[in-house]
Amino acid sequence: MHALGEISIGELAAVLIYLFITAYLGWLGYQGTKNSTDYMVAGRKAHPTVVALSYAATFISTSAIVGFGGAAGMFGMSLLWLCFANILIGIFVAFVWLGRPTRRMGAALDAHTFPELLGRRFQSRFLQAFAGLIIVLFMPLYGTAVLIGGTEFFSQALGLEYGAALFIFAALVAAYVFFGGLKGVMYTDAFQGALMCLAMIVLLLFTYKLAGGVVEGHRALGELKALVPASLQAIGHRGWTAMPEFGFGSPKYNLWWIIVGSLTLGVGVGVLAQPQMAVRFLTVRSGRELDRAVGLGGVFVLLLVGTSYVTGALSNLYFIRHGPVFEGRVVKTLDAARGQALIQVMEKDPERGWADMARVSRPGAKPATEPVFPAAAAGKGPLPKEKLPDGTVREGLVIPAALIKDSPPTKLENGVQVVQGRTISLFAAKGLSDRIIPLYITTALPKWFGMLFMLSLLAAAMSTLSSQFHTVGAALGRDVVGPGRGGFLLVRLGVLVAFLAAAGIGYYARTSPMAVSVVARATAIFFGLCASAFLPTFVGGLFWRRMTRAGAISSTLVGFLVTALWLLLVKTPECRVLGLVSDSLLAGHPNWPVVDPLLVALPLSALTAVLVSLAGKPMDPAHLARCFGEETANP
Amino acid sequence: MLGIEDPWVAAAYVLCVAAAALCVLYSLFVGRASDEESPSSRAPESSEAPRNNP
Repeated sequence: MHALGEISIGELAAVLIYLFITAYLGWLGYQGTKNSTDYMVAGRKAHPTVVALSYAATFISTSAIVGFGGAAGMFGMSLLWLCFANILIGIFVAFVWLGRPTRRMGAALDAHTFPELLGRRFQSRFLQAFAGLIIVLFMPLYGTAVLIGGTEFFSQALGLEYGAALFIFAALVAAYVFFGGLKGVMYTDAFQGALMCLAMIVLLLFTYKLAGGVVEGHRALGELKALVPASLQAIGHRGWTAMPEFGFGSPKYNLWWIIVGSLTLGVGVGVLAQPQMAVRFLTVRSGRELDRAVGLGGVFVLLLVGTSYVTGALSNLYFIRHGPVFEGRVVKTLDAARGQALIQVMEKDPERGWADMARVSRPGAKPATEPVFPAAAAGKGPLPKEKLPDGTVREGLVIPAALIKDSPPTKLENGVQVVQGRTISLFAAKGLSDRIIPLYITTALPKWFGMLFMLSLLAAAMSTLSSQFHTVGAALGRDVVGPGRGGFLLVRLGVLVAFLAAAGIGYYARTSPMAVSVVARATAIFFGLCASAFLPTFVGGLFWRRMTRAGAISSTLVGFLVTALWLLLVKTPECRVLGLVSDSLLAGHPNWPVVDPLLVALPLSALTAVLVSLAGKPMDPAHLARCFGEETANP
Repeated sequence: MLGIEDPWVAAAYVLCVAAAALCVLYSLFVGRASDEESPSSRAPESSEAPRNNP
């Protein structure tokens, strides 16, 4: 998927050095792991720098850089609202507002995992096991999504076949999690995080240099707005430096709801209740370490996420100025003054002459582009969309392009004038947004940076994956099966199960288009489930003494069920991918199908928590005093 | 502002940097000022004794 070119001996050596350092840090974690507190919560003595880098590196996976960076290439800089939410909510609010009380309560209740914290706060074994089960059942899918992304790079770097690369890559990560526990995870995270930071600083500097500076780059990007594809304009895209159109009740507001409703709020707020993130707060000695970690965490997320989004958006400018050259005939002028037009792409065959290029979708095959001879005559529009007798759908390949002024058009005998032009990122990447960032890296930046970037993506995948393995292992060994039955050996066994599950699904997913689609949505599904199921219980548990066990359990169940139903029946594309319904039940009611489950489920689960808690008897004051780290009145 | 035509997007750009700056300032001033918490509120060094569901 992400072709970064042939790899040299030097690059191979860099990969091996990177892997050696990672293994060494995993070994350091192993050396420092003596008991289950070490294994589960890094001995509760983690350094603020390690906490900050580890938290952010876990948060930012390959998909955040490549996937969301590509999305910014398609949708533009309005995605920076997600970056803002990531920093303000994901770092500042999380560390300053949630981190201290989580750490204090975790220490007071001797909680080693996120489900254990909830379970002990509400004196509910069920709550602990249920939360653990959600993690065990759904996190391996999310893990597989990250694993597949990392394997693509790993197999290319070492020239391995996909299956072998998948197994070795997963085993490598599992090994340092298995032996090093959370210490191993956090040490390697910190190294990987620093590497990612370095790559992103270089990427940001290069990108702005190529764009002609910060202000000039943004201004020039704004001038490309006429080139927004019609399909994106129809959902409210108004240019790469503009917000999408806002409103409710029409498909033309879909993009606003995707960017603000789903991404900014869904992912931005959803991160607060991610078990693999919240457990980081249990790893520090005191609140002071969290205060000191906030600054680095904020800068780190700004660098990683902000750079991806700005680079993705500005890549359009690069491809318009220096990208691949397309030839074709103008079918519509978009902005005459700036030489921007829609062109029907054409190609010349040495023997058969000029052809119109068409996008062809055959039943059961991947879409492809093919020439159609002879090219249409002058005055004709693009090649019309048509369905052929064998079920193949064919339509003209029409792209928005900035025409090359210095290149005079070629005049054909049939009157057609063939012009040359360059197009935006999405079309340069053949319509796949995931390809935008890798294509930009390989074409716009020096080769040595390609290697640094590849390592940073490997690091991004490994740092997220290691925390997932650890969280699933801890959930299985400690929360579902139960504490005190084999200590952290059981958790290690859980790590192995997580590894086998992710590797198994990853291998199987390669052969099944359905599995590929499910895995591609796994991150969104897991984030949504965790946020709605856990956030009211987590926040209520930390700040509201009146919240009861019944309130917590009912809120968690309502959050889980409403999210699951919304994903299964309403939210697109998830409902189509999960396959219970062929299309959203609210397909005729825009913009409901693009509304994030969090916006529906979180208010309901929060309301449930409040109403059920108020209707029941308050919890035992002595227990509450212990939860909140206070001296009890009766010795 | 910053060459970005839409003030909402320009605001997001500025707010990203401002939020990161807020994080840094918080760490510098509050992180440095906050003293060590009392030993009683510190985490136990090690534990495997479950105190679950008393």
